[in-house]
Amino acid sequence: MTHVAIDGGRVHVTSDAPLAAPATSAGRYVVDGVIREITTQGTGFFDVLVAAEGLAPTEDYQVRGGALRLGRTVHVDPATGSERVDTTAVWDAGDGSLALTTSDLDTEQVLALLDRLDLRPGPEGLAVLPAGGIGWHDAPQLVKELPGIGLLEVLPLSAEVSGSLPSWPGTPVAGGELYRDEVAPGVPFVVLVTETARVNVLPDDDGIEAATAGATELLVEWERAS
Amino acid sequence: MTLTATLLLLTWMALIVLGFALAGLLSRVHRLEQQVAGAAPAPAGAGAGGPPVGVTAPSVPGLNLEGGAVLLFADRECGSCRRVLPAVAAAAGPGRPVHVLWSGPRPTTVDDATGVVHHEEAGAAYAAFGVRAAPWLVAVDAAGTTAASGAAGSEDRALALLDAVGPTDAGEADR
Repeated sequence: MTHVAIDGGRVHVTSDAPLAAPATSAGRYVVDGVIREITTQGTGFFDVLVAAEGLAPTEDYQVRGGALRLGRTVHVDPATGSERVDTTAVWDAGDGSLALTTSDLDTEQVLALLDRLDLRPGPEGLAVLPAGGIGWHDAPQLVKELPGIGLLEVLPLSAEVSGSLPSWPGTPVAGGELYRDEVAPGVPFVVLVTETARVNVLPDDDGIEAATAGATELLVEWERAS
Repeated sequence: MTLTATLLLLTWMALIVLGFALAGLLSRVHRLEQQVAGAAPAPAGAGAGGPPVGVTAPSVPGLNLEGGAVLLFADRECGSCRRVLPAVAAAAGPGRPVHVLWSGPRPTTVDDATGVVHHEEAGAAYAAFGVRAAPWLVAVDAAGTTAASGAAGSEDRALALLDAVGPTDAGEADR
């Protein structure tokens, strides 16, 4: 199974586990000195947010060949009673969408941001490339669920990502080297390091042993965009 | 020189060096404060498209802006373009026609209405006004100057833009 990551890279995942689940990709961009996170996923994401997250639709636009829909979510701090209003903007190109949640940008600023990005929709997914003075903050990632194994967080193997790896060799497996780490004390996860990617395997209900067994057979390649 | 005198001398030298370092740091902070204060904030919507307010509206063949008008840039694919149109037409008032500028063909589901002029395939108007998103509303006053310009993806936003402009002279006379 191949997915297009937000940076345009093609992520190839091979596993005995079912691969049909869609993937989500996330990137953090530096926009005028502020870090903004954008995600890409399949089409119809706005309706998912309305149904699952209680997003209240407010506005919609036709822009750059896609539909931009905006909605509001009000978060109330139970301790202080203070409210924070988030605006979520989803631009849907028909075969993929991008989403941005903000509490400080108004509609026209969201439109301006969208106008600056290099949007590349395609049948395999949507790439959102920095342009117009916008840059990457750090490595993008792609998230995909593999039933029976867990949630995969895939990052391209850059110098920055490599620097976060242990200095000692991991256990050799089919796809590279395997390590075990902890998200928090007593909450283990598995790290698979391939030639092109770091894959964090967060166990699902089947536990760390199933995640480890699945990661042993897992092949992941992050093919960078040319 | 005694040990005490040497230590005292070294302490004074360290204090002097620290003083220079502190002065340099304060100077740097002062310069940064000046830069922050001098940086004009970007106007709301800068870069989103559409003309700024207070400029002469561009001339587009077939688009008569004499006496003032409301321009609603629309696209057949956007639902809000159709939803805001009746409210905009009602709020524009007499003496201020609403020109609906469709980026492509006009949807068959949009009926004619008094005071509303539809323009199909209005790409030239989009380009002239720098509009890149629909619906976008521009109000032009009787002097041919843009009086409002902004994203109008909901009825509330469209009406807020018209509220900021106020009624036309003809509308005032009718009251």
